[in-house]
Amino acid sequence: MRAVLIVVLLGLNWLDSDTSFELPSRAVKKIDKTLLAYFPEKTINKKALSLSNVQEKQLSFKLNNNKFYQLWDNSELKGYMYIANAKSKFDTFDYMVLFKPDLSIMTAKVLLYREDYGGEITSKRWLKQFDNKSNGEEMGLGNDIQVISGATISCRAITAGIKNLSKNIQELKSKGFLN
Amino acid sequence: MIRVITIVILLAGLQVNAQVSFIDTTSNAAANSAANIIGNKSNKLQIGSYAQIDYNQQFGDTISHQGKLDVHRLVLFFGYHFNDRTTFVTEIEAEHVKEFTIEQAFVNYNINPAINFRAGLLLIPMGIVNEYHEPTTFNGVERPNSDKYIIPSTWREIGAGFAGKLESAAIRYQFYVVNGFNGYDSGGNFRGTDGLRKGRQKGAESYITSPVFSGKLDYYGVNGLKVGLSCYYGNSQSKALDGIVKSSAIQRQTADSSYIGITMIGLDYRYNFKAIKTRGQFIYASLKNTAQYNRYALSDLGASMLGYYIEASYNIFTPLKLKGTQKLDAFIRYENYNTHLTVASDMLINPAYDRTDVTMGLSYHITKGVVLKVDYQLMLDKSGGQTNMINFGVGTWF
Repeated sequence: MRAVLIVVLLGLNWLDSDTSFELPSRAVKKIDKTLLAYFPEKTINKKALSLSNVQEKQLSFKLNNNKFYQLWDNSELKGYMYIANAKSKFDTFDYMVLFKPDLSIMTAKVLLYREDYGGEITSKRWLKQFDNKSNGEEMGLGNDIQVISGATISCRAITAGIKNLSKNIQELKSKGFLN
Repeated sequence: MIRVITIVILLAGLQVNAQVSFIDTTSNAAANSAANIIGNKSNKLQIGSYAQIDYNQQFGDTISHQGKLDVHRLVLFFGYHFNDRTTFVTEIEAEHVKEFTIEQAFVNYNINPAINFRAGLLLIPMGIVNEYHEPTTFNGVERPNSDKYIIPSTWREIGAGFAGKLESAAIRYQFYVVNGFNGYDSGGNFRGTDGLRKGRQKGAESYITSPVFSGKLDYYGVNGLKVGLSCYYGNSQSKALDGIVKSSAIQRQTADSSYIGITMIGLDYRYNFKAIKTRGQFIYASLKNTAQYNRYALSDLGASMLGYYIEASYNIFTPLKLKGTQKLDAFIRYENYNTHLTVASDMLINPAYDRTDVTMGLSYHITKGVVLKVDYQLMLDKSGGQTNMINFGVGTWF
């Protein structure tokens, strides 16, 4: 019995220590494809936002440099990109959100959906519901964003995620960290 | 021993969840959004659970009835993510506390965004509730009865097949070849009152004499709407077919009476629009060879069965403009299920098998994933039978 417990605890430790993150190449391809579709004939440079320790401490959330980018076309700021991960029923999925320079949402795309359950959220028609929204507003699930039956967990996770990303980017702007 | 291990797993599950969940992000914005942006733990193990605890009380006639209190279902599910393409999914269920079963156990291999190969113990995609049976996803303490008597949910068998979605057409598809029902072993398992239900093999030392086909298409191209078309086609299995001499026509002919041919077709829809939710399904099963089967197995199985329901609910909290995640859905469902829609020519229809339920009640979602339910059921059958039930339930899902 004790052995079982120890095995379980070891398992937990291992899970907790595993914090490395690599975006699979399939997801990276989808990012490139999306950027090309939204900024045709532009050379988009992805520049990670770097904040000083002092700046980071002023935020109500933790900014991960690998996940948030400014998008530049030469010296012109074209928008922002956030990469995030959320939970589906039995697995996790990766998604991206593109923001316009005015911080409204340009598009949301699911980069890699790993299981079959709830895969309906990758639908363009569904994700379109987030377009042009900003500051986490009008993103109430069930009222502003229609739930897809049979994909509740994934709908809930991505809606909550995009809402937060949208609020966070607004916070970065209001604290003057985006320039 | 099993119980102790289960408790350990449960506790471990809670801990794991506490440590790795960076997912559900609405309430605690600071902590959760941080987690959401970090979002980078390659968490390989997902753990979840759902539970349904019921109190059913019959009332309203001339005799007294005892109530029933039951931990109807407690399910733990695990998804283990081997790599970006390969997941193992399992649902382990304790039913009525003392029965341990496996509801699902399959490997899913993601070939590309449109195609997944899966093999193992699979849920048969038929109607709504068999696949989506977590208690927070349906109204009413108990599952609809057509999902018990016509579709024998939770219906699952061992098999393999493909699932995925055609993004441009907004269609999700599932096609499986699976094992069929155990229609005859030491005696007949199919009968008039609950159709095919007693024949489920559930992957427990199941045997096969011929495979069956099961498939479903779901259309999700209109926001808020989902429409499904399901099909199940094949013969039931029979132990009378085991050990017969292949060249013996007489033996084969006799054994041929021990199985039936099953064609089941289902149509379902779910539609949500703001505070309103409505859903319905229509399931028709045509059963072949039932005259011979009933004579051979001494049973009273019908030659066709039909079940349908339509349900509407309204979230009372929406017009009250209450903030937060609570919902109070008032619902009503009309349901008819008839396991003797038609019968073979040598028997009579039993009118008691033509049943109509009207269920109305409330689902109070006190937070996402926790629902308190109460409903009243009026159950009528064509022989004049009437049952009044009041049900209370607690449902959770995380």
